[in-house]
Parts: sequence; C-alpha cells; structure tokens
Amino acid sequence: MTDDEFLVLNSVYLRKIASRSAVAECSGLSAETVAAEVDRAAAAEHLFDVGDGMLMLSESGTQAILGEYRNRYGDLRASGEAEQWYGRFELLNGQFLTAISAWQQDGATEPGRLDKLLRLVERQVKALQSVAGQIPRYALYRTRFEQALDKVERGNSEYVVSPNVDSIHNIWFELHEDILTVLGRPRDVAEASP
Amino acid sequence: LSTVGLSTAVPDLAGLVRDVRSIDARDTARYGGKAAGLARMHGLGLPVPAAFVIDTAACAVYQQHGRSLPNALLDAITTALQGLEDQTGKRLGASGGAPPLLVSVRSGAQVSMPGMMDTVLNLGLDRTSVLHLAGQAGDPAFAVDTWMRFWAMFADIVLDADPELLALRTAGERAAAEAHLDEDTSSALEDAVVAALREEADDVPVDPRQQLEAAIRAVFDSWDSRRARLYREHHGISHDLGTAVTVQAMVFGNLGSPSGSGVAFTRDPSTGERRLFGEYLAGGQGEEVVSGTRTPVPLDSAVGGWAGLVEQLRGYGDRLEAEYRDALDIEFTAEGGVLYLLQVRPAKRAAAAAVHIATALVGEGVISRGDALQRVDPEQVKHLVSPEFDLDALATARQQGRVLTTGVPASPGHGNGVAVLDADRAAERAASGEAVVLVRPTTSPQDLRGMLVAAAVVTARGGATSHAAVVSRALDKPCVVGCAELEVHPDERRFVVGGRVVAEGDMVSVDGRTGEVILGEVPRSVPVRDLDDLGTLLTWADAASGVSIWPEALSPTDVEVARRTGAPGIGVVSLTDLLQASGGLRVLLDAIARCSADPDAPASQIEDPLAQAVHSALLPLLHGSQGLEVDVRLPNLMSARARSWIREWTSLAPHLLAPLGPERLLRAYARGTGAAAAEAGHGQLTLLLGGITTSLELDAFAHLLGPDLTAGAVLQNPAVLWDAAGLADRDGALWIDLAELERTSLGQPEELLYADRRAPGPATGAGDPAPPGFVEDLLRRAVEKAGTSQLGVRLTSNAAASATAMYDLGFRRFTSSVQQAAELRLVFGRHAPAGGRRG
Repeated sequence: MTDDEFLVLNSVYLRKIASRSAVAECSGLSAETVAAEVDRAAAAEHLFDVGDGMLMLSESGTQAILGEYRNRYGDLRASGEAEQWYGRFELLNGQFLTAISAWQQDGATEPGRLDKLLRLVERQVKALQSVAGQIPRYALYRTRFEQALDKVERGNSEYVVSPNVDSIHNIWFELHEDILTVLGRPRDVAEASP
Repeated sequence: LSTVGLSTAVPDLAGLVRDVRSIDARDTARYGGKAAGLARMHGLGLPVPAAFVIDTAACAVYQQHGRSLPNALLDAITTALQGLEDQTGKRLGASGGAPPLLVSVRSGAQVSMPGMMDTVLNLGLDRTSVLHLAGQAGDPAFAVDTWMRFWAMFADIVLDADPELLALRTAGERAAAEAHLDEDTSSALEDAVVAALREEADDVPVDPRQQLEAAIRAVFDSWDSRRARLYREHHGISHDLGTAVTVQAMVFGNLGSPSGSGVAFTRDPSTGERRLFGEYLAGGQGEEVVSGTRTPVPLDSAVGGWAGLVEQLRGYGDRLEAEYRDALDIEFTAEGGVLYLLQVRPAKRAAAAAVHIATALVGEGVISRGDALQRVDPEQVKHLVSPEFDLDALATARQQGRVLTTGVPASPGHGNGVAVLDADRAAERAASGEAVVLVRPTTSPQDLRGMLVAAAVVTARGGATSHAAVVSRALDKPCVVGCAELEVHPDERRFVVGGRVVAEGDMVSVDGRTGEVILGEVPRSVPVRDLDDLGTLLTWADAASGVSIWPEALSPTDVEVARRTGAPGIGVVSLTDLLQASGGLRVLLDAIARCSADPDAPASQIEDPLAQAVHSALLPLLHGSQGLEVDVRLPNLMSARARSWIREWTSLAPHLLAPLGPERLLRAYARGTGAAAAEAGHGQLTLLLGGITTSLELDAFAHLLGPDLTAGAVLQNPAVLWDAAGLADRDGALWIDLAELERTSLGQPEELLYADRRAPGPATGAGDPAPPGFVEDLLRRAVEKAGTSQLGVRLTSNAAASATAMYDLGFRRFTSSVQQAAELRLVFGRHAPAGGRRG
C-alpha cells in the first residue's frame, strides 16, 4: 500500500465517516490527491459513499487498513519502546479527560481550568516527538493541535470540545484511536476503563 | 546623553514589596485583585493569614532586568518574608528548630486572565522541615502528603513537568517515607523527586527560598505567556500593566484543637435561601472537602469548640456580604481554635438560587434592579424554563418498576424518545419528526450524526469522561453512561437489561441528573414551581429594555408558564401545530383536497368539519389565556411542510394558491376561531396570514374577517417589507419572521431552517451576528415607515443570536418559543442601557 493510499484509508478509518475535505484535513494531503485515492479505493470497493459525499470503509477496506497497520507497525508493537510510549500517552490521557470534564463543568468561571487543559495538550504534543521517527505522519497531529490551540487561545472556545469542528477533543480522540490501532488493541478496552 | 538616565525614573525597589495590611485596598492596579481583597478583609477586621504582595510595577523591573529579580528586589522580598516569619512565629525552611513556615504563591493581575500562573501551595518543605511538620502535627502521612502536593503543583506549574509522571516515578520512595518518616526516607524521597524532574526540567531547586524565587519568576513569566498576551490583545488590555505576586502564610487545619477546614456559603447555593450553608472537616486541609474524600460535618450540626467558630463565621459572613453586596463562598481553616478566612469570592450557585439571590438582594436594598439583571446569566434562565419530567409521572414510573437501570449521570437534563441503537437509523427517524434516544455500547465520532439529533444519549460502557459524556455535554443533551447491566445489540435492534428485552422503537426516558433509564414515556413540561422570582426579575428586565416578548405557547402548561413569568401576550401560535396536536390535521388535509377537487362542494364537507376542528384545537389554549392577546397563524399552503404533507401538491387547484389563498378555508378558520373565542370568553384574538407579498392582501384579509376578528400577518419576504408604508397604522400585529426573511432574501431552501446544523449556543448579548446588510436596510426602512407599535420580530432559535441587533434597530416587540422567551427577556434587559450594560 502506498503512503497516500494508507493515509486516505486511515483517515476514513479513524473518522469512521468522513467527507473528502475531512480526509484532506486529517491526512494532510491535497484535495486532488484525496480525490484520486478515494476514486481508486472506491473502485477496489474498499470504501463507499453513503450519501452527501460522506465516505465509509467497507469490510474489505477495514481489513486492508488493519493489515497495513500490522505491516507498518509490527516491529514497533513488538518493541518495549512502544509500550513505554503508550504508557506515557495513557498517563496524559487520564489527566486530559479529567481536565476536559472540569472545564465543561465550571471553565466559564475558573480560568485555571482551560490553562490546565491546554498545558496537557502541549505536553502531549511534546510527547509525540518521541515517536516522530517511527511514525512521521504524527507530525500532522501536532499541526492540528496547534491550529486548534491557536483558535482556543484567541477566544474561540468551540475548538475545545465541539464535535462539529476540528476541536482539541476530536483530535485527541482520533489520536487515541490511531495509537490503539498502531498497537493492535481494541478500542473497547480503553473506553471501558473510566 | 545623561538625559537617558534622567527620563527613566529609578523605582524604589524596596517599596515594591509590602505587607498586605499596609496597602490601599482600592488600588487593584498596583496590587492585583487577590492582595487588594486580602487588604479589604483585613480592613474589615477579618482574620486573614499574614501575607505580602509584590507590586505590579516589579513585573516590568523583572523584564527590564533580563528576566531576573534584581538584588534590591530580592532583599525586599527577604525583609517581607521575615515579616511573615515574625507574625507567624514560623520560619521558611525551618532552620533552628522553629516550626516550618509554609506559603502559597499566587499571581494577581487587576483583571484575571487565562495563561496566568495558577496557585502554588505548601511551599516551604524540604527533607528536613518535613520532619518538623510531621512531629508538630503528629502525623507523618499528612506531612509527606503536604510535601508531595507541593511538588505536584510546583512541577506542573513552575517547571512544566507532568505531576502524574512524577507521582509514578516516586511512588516507592513515597510509600517508604509514609511508612516510616525519618531523615533517610525523606532524603531518599527528595532525591527521587529531583531525579524524576531532571528529565523534564533543567533546574530543580530543593531549597524553599530558591523555590519561592522560582515561583515568583514563574508568575512574572506567565504575564508574558502567549496565552496571556493573546488575551490582552483580544480585550485591548495593555501589556504594560503587569501582574502582582501575593505570598501568603498557610494555616493548617490539623494543628491543635479545634482544627479543621471547610467552605461556607452565605446563602444556600441550590435555593438561594439566606442562611449560612456549608460544611467543615475536622482536622483536615481544604482540598479534601472539595474533592469529597472524607466525611464533612454540616455547619448547622457543629459540635464542641466548632459551634463557637461557626457563630464567628456567621458574623464574618454578614460583614462580608454587606461589603461585597453578593452571596459569597468563604474558604476557612481553624488552627488550634483560631479561625482564618483563606478565600472569599462570589458564590457559585444553581440557576434557581441565582435568580432568588438577585431578587432578594434588591429586596434587601443591597443592589439595584439593573445590578440584579447582571447577576443572572441568560443560560441560567434557559435552564429554569427547560422541560423536566412531571414529578407524578416519574414517581409512577418508579413504582411500576419501569426503571431499567441506573448508570452514571454524565450530562444533565430530561429527555425521552424511541430507543434507536444505531446512529444512522437515529438520524433517519429524527428526520421524520420522531424524538429518538440513542442507545449504544459506547460512542465514537461515527455516532455523531445520531447524537446531534438525539433527545438523549445512553451508553453501556464508559465513565463521566467518555466520548459520549464529553460530547453530550458539549451538545447540551441529557446523557447516561456506564450502564453496566445493559447489553446492546445494534444489529438485532434490541437491548437487554436485567432479563428485560427492549426493542428498537420502544419509548424510553432518560434522566441525565440521576442516571435513570426508564421504560416508556415520562412526559415533560416546564416546571411551574419556582417561577415567581424569575417573573419578578424578567419584569425588571422588561422595564429596563422596554421590550415585550410574546411566547409561542402551544399547551395550557406553556400558557401557565407564560402567565407566571409575566408575558404580555401569546405570540405566533401555529394553527397547524394546534390541529396536529389535537388530531385535527386530517380534517384540514381533507378540506384542502375537497376544496381543490370541487370548489363548489357543500359547506357540510368543507367549512363545517374544518371549523369544528379549529374550534376544538383552539379551545384549551383560549381557556387558559383569558386576558392575554393571542396571535394565531393560519396554515400556509405554500410552506415546505404543506408541500410534504399534501399528496399531489403540484395538482392542487390554482385558486388555492392565489394571493390571499383559499377563501373558503379562511372563512372556516375564522368561523371556528370565532366560536372558540366566544365559548372561552376570549376577546383578544388576532389571526395572522403568512406569506403575503403586499399590504393589499392584508386589506383583503381584514375585509374577509369582518369586524369581530383582528387581521394581522407574518412577514416572511423582502417584497412585503418593501411595501412598509402600506403596513403602517394597522390594528393587528405584524410579525417579521427574521429567519424566513433572511432565507428568502438569500434564496436558500426552506429545509435549511429545519436542519439545525449548528451546535446549540446561548443567545448572548455580545458579538452577535447582525443580519446581512440589505436585510438590515429593509428592516430599518420598515421601522421608519411602519413604526414599531404593531411591528414585531419573530426570533426562532436559529435567529436568536441577532436579538440584540434587532433591538438596536429599534424593535421592541418580539415573539419566540416559550423556553427562549424568558432567556431573551433577560438578554434584552442586560443589553439595554438602563439594564446596567457597560461600555
């Protein structure tokens, strides 16, 4: 699987249901590349259009992307380094989710809530650096986090958790999904632990 | 050349550090809100722990010195610190056997802003002084905990290192120190802390004095953080103002007896009732009360030495309320029988309490009515008029054992609808007008389409921070998560709970506050209780704004809410909605079909049944609304809804779609309405015609209705507004439907109005979008030519954000949904100059 093919299928996989522009946003590829790859994947019946230009993976598409994850990250899964790095993610993840809830509860009257939350995002961005070598595409999460942070810092708090924009919570959730897939773990395990 | 030196005043650095007892409490510009607040409390004779403040001017000095603290300033800090030590009889770093002085370090700008350093507590412990503290408290675990809390905060805030990583890496040494605290274990713990932090930070000071300097530098650095700078630029605050630093001695609630700490509210934060409310924890530090890890004692059940302390607290509370003119929360600590107030600020309060407190303070002569409007947030009003489960129906459901399960309440509110186990199917059913509750094993972004349309969300797995919980809160929807007993089978379209099988399409009700998931529909309505204070507040808002809002009440309960909150009349009520609710829709559709097929059909087939249906549909509403004007909007055959309901719409006889519309139907509406009004003894009814394009249609309509009914209109397009002069001097109401006007002006499809694609947000007063320029011109022209005595604006939820823009154009009459009406009244009251709007 070429990098472009992987990035496009992976974007749809992570988003579950995504428009072409969301795929471009998530993969960092140009609109033309996305359009070409989507057509190719659709011809191979890896993905289909469910209406309104929204794309979803077929069963074969899902299998193809999971197989590609195994090809690409098999060695990383086997190394203890990945475990250690995932532990770091999890440690920040727990704090982040608590901080998100605290911000939702009384962020309007407690300015410290947002600071805490943004500090954790900055730490996650920093922690991502440690796998930049093995997973270069993670640089895009950094870019997206920074764009969302910038919006929030300029007072647009929609970019904290709104599901309708590329918000911090959305990006984080997607990154979590991505990491779990890299490590070959089912999502349910993570979600079940509160 | 020497003029350079002369033009820069040499600041008196020693004067930049002061005991808070000696500063001017009004000078928040120099000392920041925090220190000024302490000075104010000191001035009132209230017991506050000793503190000193570093002037905001020192912030600039720090920057000019290449981000370092000049020696003169360090000397001044030393002197001030000695002052704290003298006042407390303790010493920072605990040299010479004196008990250790612990301090808090806080930033304090005149305006609080994001990006500023959070508070660092418990600064003053090291490997030696922690032993003193342990001995003094007779509690080694407490001493270690206090020390490690300091390190967690210092790491997080000053060193930018992950506190949880630190905790993980020092867990072994910490456990050893807690088990047996001595020089060896405390040294090992400190070494482990430093080793762990060196991986993330270059400089990790262990000497309390150096830690204090690092914390002070961190406060000044935070003034220049990107976030703080952006905030100031956004709000036009000068970068030169700087921040102050407050250093305050800490007191502990576990030294001597009685000791302890707690939080007191001067008024009940859930009801607003004036009584000292709160609790204390004997022998524990404040954070535990907040995080609820030990069992606290309610203030009104205080025993022993605490009873006297609570009496003192009551007195302080009264004094503080008189000073701050608001309900307050007070953090306090008692050390060896001496009470200290740690923090005082306006209390957080529930929506009902906010309204009660605001109106009570006006009653007590403490604040003005304009102040009261600023004390309540429109969002809180929205919550007070949100529909809730009917209490009787809820009790019945519980008695009947219809509670399927109780999960983790994750987002408040009450919702009901048919259970749907798949997001796409939920979206489809919602599009056909059904209320749905999305029930999933867990949610992910894939389920967003379903979540957006759902009345409530339920998941089997996940906690209060799961995707479902976070997103539901963002969407302001009731949500229950972690229903462990729930087995969800989306493909089989059923879920199983405690042996009971619930099929997709079965009605369920969800209580996002208690976590209950209930089988069947628990009906909801706006609670009629507790609305008296709100009514009073909204009447003041109306007086300030000169606005009247006519809620679109459909049910007798809605009418009751409208009446209790002092509405002047009932706004645009859709006759179609009333017919639909009363089962008369079929009669209407029949009459249309017959009228189209045979214009000469006898009255027994058209007017008689339709008038009867209209009569039944209107009667309950009119019975409840005597004394209030009621404006009823007649069905419009050109609407998207009519097109979707009327089969073969395109084959309708052309005369039905002519200007003014089908005369026989109009007469039938008028007959049914007149009969209902007579029966209910209701004499203030206006019938509104929608979709007109010229005032001539309105003339014809008035003529058709005759003298007993008043003719009005809903204005939906630019054409009719262009004819503004023709709309002047009318008897009946003229409602401009703002969303429709914008839609028709921009040529957008009607479906856009029904699909609310935006995340819901409150109708706020600031930064609201104005309508497009030419629409605004049309509206301005309409106000000029037709006046605003009969001309009003209909604000549907997707137009509410333009509310204040409409106010500024001169409109004073509005109509909106019942829920939104109350919120909007407050928005206008706060926006109006007389409502105390600033700037």
